Amino acid sequence: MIKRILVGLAGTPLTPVAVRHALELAGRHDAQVTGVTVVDVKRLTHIGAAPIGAGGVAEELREHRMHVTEEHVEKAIAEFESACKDADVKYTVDREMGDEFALMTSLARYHDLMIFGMRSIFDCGLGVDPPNALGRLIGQGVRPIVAVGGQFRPVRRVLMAYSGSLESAKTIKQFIQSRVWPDLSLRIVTCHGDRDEARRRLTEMAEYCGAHGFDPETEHLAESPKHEILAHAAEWDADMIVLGNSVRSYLMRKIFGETALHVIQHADRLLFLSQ
Amino acid sequence: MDYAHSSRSSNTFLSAAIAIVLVAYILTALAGLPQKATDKIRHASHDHREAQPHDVGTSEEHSPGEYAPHVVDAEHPALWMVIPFALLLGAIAVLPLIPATEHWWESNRNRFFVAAVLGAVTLLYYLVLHEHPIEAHWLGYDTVHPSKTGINWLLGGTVFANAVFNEYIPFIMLLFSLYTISGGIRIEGDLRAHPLTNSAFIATGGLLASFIGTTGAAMLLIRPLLETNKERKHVKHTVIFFIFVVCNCGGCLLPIGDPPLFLGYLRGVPFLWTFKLWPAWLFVNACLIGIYYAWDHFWCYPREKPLDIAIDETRTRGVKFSGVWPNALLLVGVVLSVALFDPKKTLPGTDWHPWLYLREIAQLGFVALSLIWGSQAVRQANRFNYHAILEVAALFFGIFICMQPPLQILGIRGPQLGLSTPIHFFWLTGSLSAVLDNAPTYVVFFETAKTLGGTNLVAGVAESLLIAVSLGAVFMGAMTYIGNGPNFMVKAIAEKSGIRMPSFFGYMLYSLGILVPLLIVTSWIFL
Repeated sequence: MIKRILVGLAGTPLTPVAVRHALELAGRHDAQVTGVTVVDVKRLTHIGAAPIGAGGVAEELREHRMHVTEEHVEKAIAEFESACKDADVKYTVDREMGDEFALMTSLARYHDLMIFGMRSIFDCGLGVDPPNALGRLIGQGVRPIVAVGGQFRPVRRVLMAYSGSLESAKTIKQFIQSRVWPDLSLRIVTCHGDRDEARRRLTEMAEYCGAHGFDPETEHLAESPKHEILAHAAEWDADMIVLGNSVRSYLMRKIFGETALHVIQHADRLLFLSQ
Repeated sequence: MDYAHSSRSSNTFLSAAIAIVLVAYILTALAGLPQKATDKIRHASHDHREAQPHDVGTSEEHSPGEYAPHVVDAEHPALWMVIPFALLLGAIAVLPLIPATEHWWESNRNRFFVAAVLGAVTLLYYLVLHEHPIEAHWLGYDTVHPSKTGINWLLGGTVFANAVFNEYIPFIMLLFSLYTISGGIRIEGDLRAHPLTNSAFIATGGLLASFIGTTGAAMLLIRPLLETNKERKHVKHTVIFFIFVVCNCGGCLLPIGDPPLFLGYLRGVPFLWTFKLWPAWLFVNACLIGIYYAWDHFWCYPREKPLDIAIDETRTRGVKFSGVWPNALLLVGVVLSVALFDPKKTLPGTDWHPWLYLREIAQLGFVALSLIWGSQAVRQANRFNYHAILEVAALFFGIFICMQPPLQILGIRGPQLGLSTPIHFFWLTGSLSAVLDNAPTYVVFFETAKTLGGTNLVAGVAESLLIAVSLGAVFMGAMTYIGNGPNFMVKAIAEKSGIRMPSFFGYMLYSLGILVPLLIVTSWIFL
């Protein structure tokens, strides 16, 4: 059941796409949408040391960053409000100042789904997003997240990447249980060197989905998931990829999260990210 | 108050101030004061020269060996007197990073306050605690002895004169005149952003840098370069190579090119000596431009979207120069004033020694002419202001004073540092220049090299070591955004134009990957 959707208004070209997806889902589930802008003044104005003679330039750069951010934020809010009114969707606007991650963690408690641009969550066109922002959000418990690319894609075909890990199983379960999008064509893929083990995984997950009323296809990919998933998604023309993620630390990232990071950095279609 | 109005007010105030200084100088000249000072310098230099080892390639042209090691009685200031100098450099590096001091440090008044307090501590040491003779450099050479009792006004005054009258004033006047005059020139244009066009921009900047200063060349060319490339998406590397070449490596052919070289000139390096650096200059800049061209031609340009390339090919605008008259001519005047108006040497073809501070007065005159004759609209278009030069003036006031004890210590303890080869001097000068301002760094290693003596002396420094110090200070300013003023200015302008420039450490990946290997080869070939 989706009743409250949070959408990040970053003021980038991805923002209208995120808003459109949010409104489409809100209309379908009779949900309320919260458009949130976050300006982290501390991060935006952190220029670092300047050489002798460049202090004035550093100050101008700080002002420029704040000015551009304010412009983008106001434009994004105006477009969001206009789109909500046109779609006749209940909405609120939340203007936040401070640490993005702490604020999102707080807001995530009271929303069922978060929608952000894939590679520009808060940067307002300045390119100063923290590295791996999506991964950090998920790591801090902001989930589930739908990350959108540059183009609106109605969600009909969903590729679910199953690594056999608890995290990826939880992500798929959450996707299946939430029934955010109806009438989906599902395909479960797994990458494993042992064909029998892969088949066992796929069968078990397909049975789980079947118990929830879905009838997914299954596919065993022999190569590395890091490269196979995106290629397979493109080949199958998936509109969305469902992906588990465990980016909590460097070690965990090395063990579990490389694939998720690679997909986040290179995907050109929607991602459903949870655990 | 809008920008145009505040700019006009600043220029009016400055023109009036310059007029007052010019009138005051004329009055002192009528009273014969600068002439007497020059006579004193001339005689003192002659006496001093007699006592010094002979420099290579210098005769009457420039006072040879005038700053050669001349330890009065082998007693230096207390070692702890390097603390004010270290504190000042530390404050410049650290205060902008501390949230509590970040905004406070933005004010030039506060910067001057810190510099002046630390300078005052240094002077206080000489006034009260220092008990040994020191050398006086201003108005020729002399040895100043401490008084037996009471406050050493003479020692304190000598240190102040050495720092401020002998070095700070000529230094800041040159930077001010180059900064102000070149700020009246503007180049606009939107050419086709081909790899060859960008390479030509960078090469032109690399050539200009030595003649109008790295800051002037960078500010002149970065805007048309960015305008030319505005349709392209892969531009970051172009800005980085521009910083390498125009903001740093191009500026080593004349003392005007980079502030440390001018300090070398003030310490007795002949004006044209820096032309001897041309083989390393040519090698480094040609390699950088060659690497850039290959990178852009084979990697970045082919990755541009066809639509962007099509727009770039069609949306062009010819190069337009504004403010060239009278400013280009005035810049030539500044160069000539530096080259010719040195009170320690005669004006070529005459036996006349220019008066003390005539060089600086000439430079101020050129600035006044630039403000009067130059286009105000051009300065407004450049968003020209005096913030940068005021910041330099505020901080260097303290740097030059606080630098005196470390220099005197190095004058005696230099040989104990273990530095002996050009390679040592090149890499150590360069490494510090990458993170500190390269002007004081140059002076510190210049003085250290001077204590080692050797053959083929230039201003008292073995020529091979002077080459190493000069190249290290100039080339390795490119290692970080903070290595040289224009690096950061160009980065900021590029970012404001929408280019996502790398972070501090991201930039260092480029300099470590490209510049360091190139400099290793350079040091291997030329040092």
